[in-house]
Amino acid sequence: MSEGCDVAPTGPGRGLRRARRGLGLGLGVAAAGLLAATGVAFLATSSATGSSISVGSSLPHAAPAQVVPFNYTLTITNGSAQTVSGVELYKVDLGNAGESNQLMVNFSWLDPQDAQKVLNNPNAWIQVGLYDYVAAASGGACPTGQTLAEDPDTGNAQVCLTPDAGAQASAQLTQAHADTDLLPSVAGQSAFYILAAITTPGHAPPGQQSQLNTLTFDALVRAR
Amino acid sequence: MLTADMRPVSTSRRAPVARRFRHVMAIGVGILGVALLGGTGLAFLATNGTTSATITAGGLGSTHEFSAVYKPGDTLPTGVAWQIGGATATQTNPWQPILNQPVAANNSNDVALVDGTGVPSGHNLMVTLTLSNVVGMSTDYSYANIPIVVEKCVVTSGACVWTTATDAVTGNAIGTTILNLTNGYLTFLLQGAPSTYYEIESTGSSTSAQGSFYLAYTSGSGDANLGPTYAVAVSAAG
Repeated sequence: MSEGCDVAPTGPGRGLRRARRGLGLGLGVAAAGLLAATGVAFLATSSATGSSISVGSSLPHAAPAQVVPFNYTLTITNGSAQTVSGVELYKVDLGNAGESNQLMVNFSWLDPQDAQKVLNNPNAWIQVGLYDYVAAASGGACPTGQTLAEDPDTGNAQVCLTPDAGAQASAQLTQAHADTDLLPSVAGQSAFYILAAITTPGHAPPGQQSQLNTLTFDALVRAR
Repeated sequence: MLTADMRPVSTSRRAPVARRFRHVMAIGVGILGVALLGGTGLAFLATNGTTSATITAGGLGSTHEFSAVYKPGDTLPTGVAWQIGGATATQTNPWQPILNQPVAANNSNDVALVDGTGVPSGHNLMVTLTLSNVVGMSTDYSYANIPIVVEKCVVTSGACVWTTATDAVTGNAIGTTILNLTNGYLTFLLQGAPSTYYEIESTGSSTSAQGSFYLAYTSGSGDANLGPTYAVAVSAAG
C-alpha cells in the first residue's frame, strides 16, 4: 500500500526531470550544432587585408634621381695658361632628400682624345665636382666662396652654390684618367649640381689649331 | 480502495502528461536538431562544388621559357637578323688601343639579341648587360667608356623593322648609355610584345668620337684583356 504513496509523488517528477534533461541535452546538441554551424560559416568566410605602400620618391616613376644636362659655352683664349671655372654640366634632381648622401655619380669624360683639338693642349685637365644649393643669387652675384650658376628647373634663374667638401665629391680628369665616381656628402639636399673647372696649362703647342669645339660628358646616378 | 484508488489515479493521470511532454520535447528537439543539422549541412554543401580550369604554358616554343638571349654565332629565329652584321653578327675591334694614349670607339658591334615574343601582353623585360671581364680589363686600361645602344626589331613580312628601343616605363627613347670599368653593368626595362626582339650593340664611329679608352698596360698583342666580354641576363619586370 505504501508503495503507492511512495510511487505517487515520484511518477510525474521523474518524467519532468527526464524531460528537462532531454530538453537540456537537446539544447546542448542544438547549441553545439549552432556553434558548429557558426564555426563552419566563419571558416567559410573569406576576407582580405593589406598594407599600404607609399613611394619614396617625388620624381616621376619613383626615380631616385633625374639628370638634367646643360649646354654650356665657354671661351678659350689661345696662347696662355688659363682656368675656366663654373662650367655647368648637370643638375641632378633627387626624388628623396634623405638619400642625397647615399648616391653616387658615375661621371665620364667621353672625348678626352679630343682635348688637343678642342682645348689646344692635350695636357688640359678638368676638375669636376658636386655643388649644393645655398640661395637665390641677389643682383647677379654671390658671396665670396660661392659659385654663381643657373637653375634649369626655374627658367635658368641664378642661384648661389657651394662646393661639397666631401673627400670624394670632386675629382680631376685628364686624358689618362677620364672617369670617376663622385660621392655627395651633404644630407638633406633635394638636388645637387655638377660643375667643372677646365684648366689649360701653358701655351698651345706650336702649330696646333683648334679643330673641334665640343666636349662630351656622361653622368649616371645610382644608389651606393 | 483509497490507496488502491489513489495510486492509479495519481499515476495514471500524470504519467501520460509526462510521456506526452517528453514526446513533444523529443520531437521538438529532434526537429530543431534536424533543422540545424540540415541547415548546417545545406550551408556546408552549398560551399562545395567542382569546376575545371585549363592551364596552357606560355613563353617560347617547346621550352616555354620567359625569354631567350642569342649571342653572335647562335641560330636566330626565323625572320630575325643582326642589325649591323645581318645573317652573321659583326664582331670587329670596337676600338684600336694604343699604349698611353686616349682613343675613341670607331666600330659598332652586335652584342646580344633578346627575345621579347614570349612575354605576356603588357609585361616587361628587365635586361642587364654586365661587363664580365671587368677585372681583366682593369689591369690593362686606366678607363674604358663603352657606348651601348639598344635597338628594337619587329619582324614584319619576314624581316626586322628596326627602331630605337624605348624605356617601358617612361616611353622615352633609350639613348647611348656608357658601360665602364666603374659602373660594371647597365639595365634596360623593355616591353615584351609579339614579333619583338631587342638587340644590344656597342656603338662607335670613325667620323665622330664615341666612347673613350686609355690603355695603360698590355702584356702583348694576344692580351685577352684588351677586348670586352659581356653577359646578358633577362628577368620579368612589371
